[in-house]
Amino acid sequence: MSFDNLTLSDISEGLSNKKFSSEEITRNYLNRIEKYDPKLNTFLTMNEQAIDSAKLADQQRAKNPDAKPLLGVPYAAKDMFCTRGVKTTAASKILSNFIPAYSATVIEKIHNQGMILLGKTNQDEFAMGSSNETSAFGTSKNPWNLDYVPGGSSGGSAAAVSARLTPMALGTDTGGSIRQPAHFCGITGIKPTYGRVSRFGIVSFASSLDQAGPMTLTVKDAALSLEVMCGYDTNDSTSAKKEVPNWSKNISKNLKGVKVGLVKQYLERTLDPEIAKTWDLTQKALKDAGAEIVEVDISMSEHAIPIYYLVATSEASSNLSRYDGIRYGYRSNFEDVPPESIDDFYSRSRGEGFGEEVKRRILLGTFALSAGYFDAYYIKACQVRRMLQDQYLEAYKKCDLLLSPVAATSAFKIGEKVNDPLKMFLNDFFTTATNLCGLPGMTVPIRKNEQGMPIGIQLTGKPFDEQTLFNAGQVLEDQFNFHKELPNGI
Amino acid sequence: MKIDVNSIAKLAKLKMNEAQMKDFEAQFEKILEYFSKLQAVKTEGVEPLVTPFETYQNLRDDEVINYDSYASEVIKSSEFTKDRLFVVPPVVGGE
Repeated sequence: MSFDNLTLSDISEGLSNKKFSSEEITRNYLNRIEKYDPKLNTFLTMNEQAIDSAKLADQQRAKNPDAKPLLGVPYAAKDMFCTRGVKTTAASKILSNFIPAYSATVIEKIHNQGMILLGKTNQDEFAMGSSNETSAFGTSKNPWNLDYVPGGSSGGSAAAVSARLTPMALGTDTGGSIRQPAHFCGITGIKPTYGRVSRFGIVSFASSLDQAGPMTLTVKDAALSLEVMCGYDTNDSTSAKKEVPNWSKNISKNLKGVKVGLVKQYLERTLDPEIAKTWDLTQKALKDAGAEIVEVDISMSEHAIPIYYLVATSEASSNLSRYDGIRYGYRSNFEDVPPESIDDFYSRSRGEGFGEEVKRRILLGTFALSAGYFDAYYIKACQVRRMLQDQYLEAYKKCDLLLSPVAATSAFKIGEKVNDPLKMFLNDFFTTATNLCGLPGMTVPIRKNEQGMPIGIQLTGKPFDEQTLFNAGQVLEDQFNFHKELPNGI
Repeated sequence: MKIDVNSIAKLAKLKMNEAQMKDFEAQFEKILEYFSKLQAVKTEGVEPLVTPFETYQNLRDDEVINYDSYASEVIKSSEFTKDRLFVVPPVVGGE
């Protein structure tokens, strides 16, 4: 049978109905990776145990016909997730040889379901970037056109799912890093509510913003995957003690009585005409399914970028202070030129190990936290952050979810923005507020622009109300059917 | 506003060459100018929000856990080890 364009749900069903084995499907993906990845550069490390694990899954399924539905289904993980015994680099030279002694809680949970790790995907270094161009191991490419970026920071995961090199890939999202690459590569991606997924064992970037989520071909696949990732974890005090709903089973396409909010300030912005058209078309589709469109005022959204870049860089400067070249990670060559001081030891290892974007952010964050500037920058940003969250929660009294573009444009060309960091930062305008306020957000792919590049739409929900996103997302998926289109750049 | 990149780099323990620091200085001036619009927001009396949901902070019981078995794996992450110890070059001087 043809394995092309199978969804996670198709694979789960196929395994259960004995249409194919886990070994067969895993080999299929490994073959595709071997064939296409040299062009795409989506995988940094392959899991040498994948076939053995697949064989084991087949034996388990043969013994137990009522096995867990995802037993033997392959997946990939962004290189931010610690995977015991499998190299985890965060796409940084400073972690280029790092082999974790433990796995992230999310990885453990997924492996408890019997899923098969294919390998680790490319990303921006330490998830800092919106284009994948800050990876220390080369930029991943967009499968719809290899001259374009896949987005970032989870660009390798997005490109791999889009190119059908894996049915699901894990991403992390600190300011849009799941949703924006999903939009650029034409796939579905959800960042759940802050606290839904344990951050234990995920390389830390900005702890009050980071969340992990699945990137898939369909909304149902995203729901199925997220269900097995969530839950309270004693190793992460910010993980929420909330029941994990059965989202995939409860998806309802009846949107009668659902109010969809449009942010007034977003409506006033200049958008690429194709993005604006996509926004209009999706409003109409949701209305046709029974939803009502309302306008909401979130004036503080204008400040999302400065708040985000002050908070994220401050937290990053603190989190990344752990890379000191002593216990793990890159150490400068001190054999030839011995360190002049302990500061010189740290500074040389860090200066050589971190890439340019990471240094830029550590410096900005160190500045925002430094004596004399702390109140004016970090504290000020946190105060406006609260005002922003208050306005969001107020807006949710008038609507059940927000519908907005994911970014002002679709994917841009490799090299186009890399020399202008402020321009790159501004790219994140529509996605950062979601993280600052801890809200769930999802990208659903909708259509292509004239250049043949995908365009998605963003749904943002109330805290812990992922279900409404899945419901509205399913309506859009059924209307536009983008998941049936295969990328033509490879 | 101009940032003294040299002194911030010392605080952040990042060694960089002059050219890179100069590039950063110019970029930071532009970035901070854009960020300065935050200063116009009236925030008197607003409590800073440092994490999205302050209502939960779920601490586990403070119990001793035996991590001895991890030590041999953890030490594998470094190229510079002897027995169960990390090795560093002799460092003399500095602040």
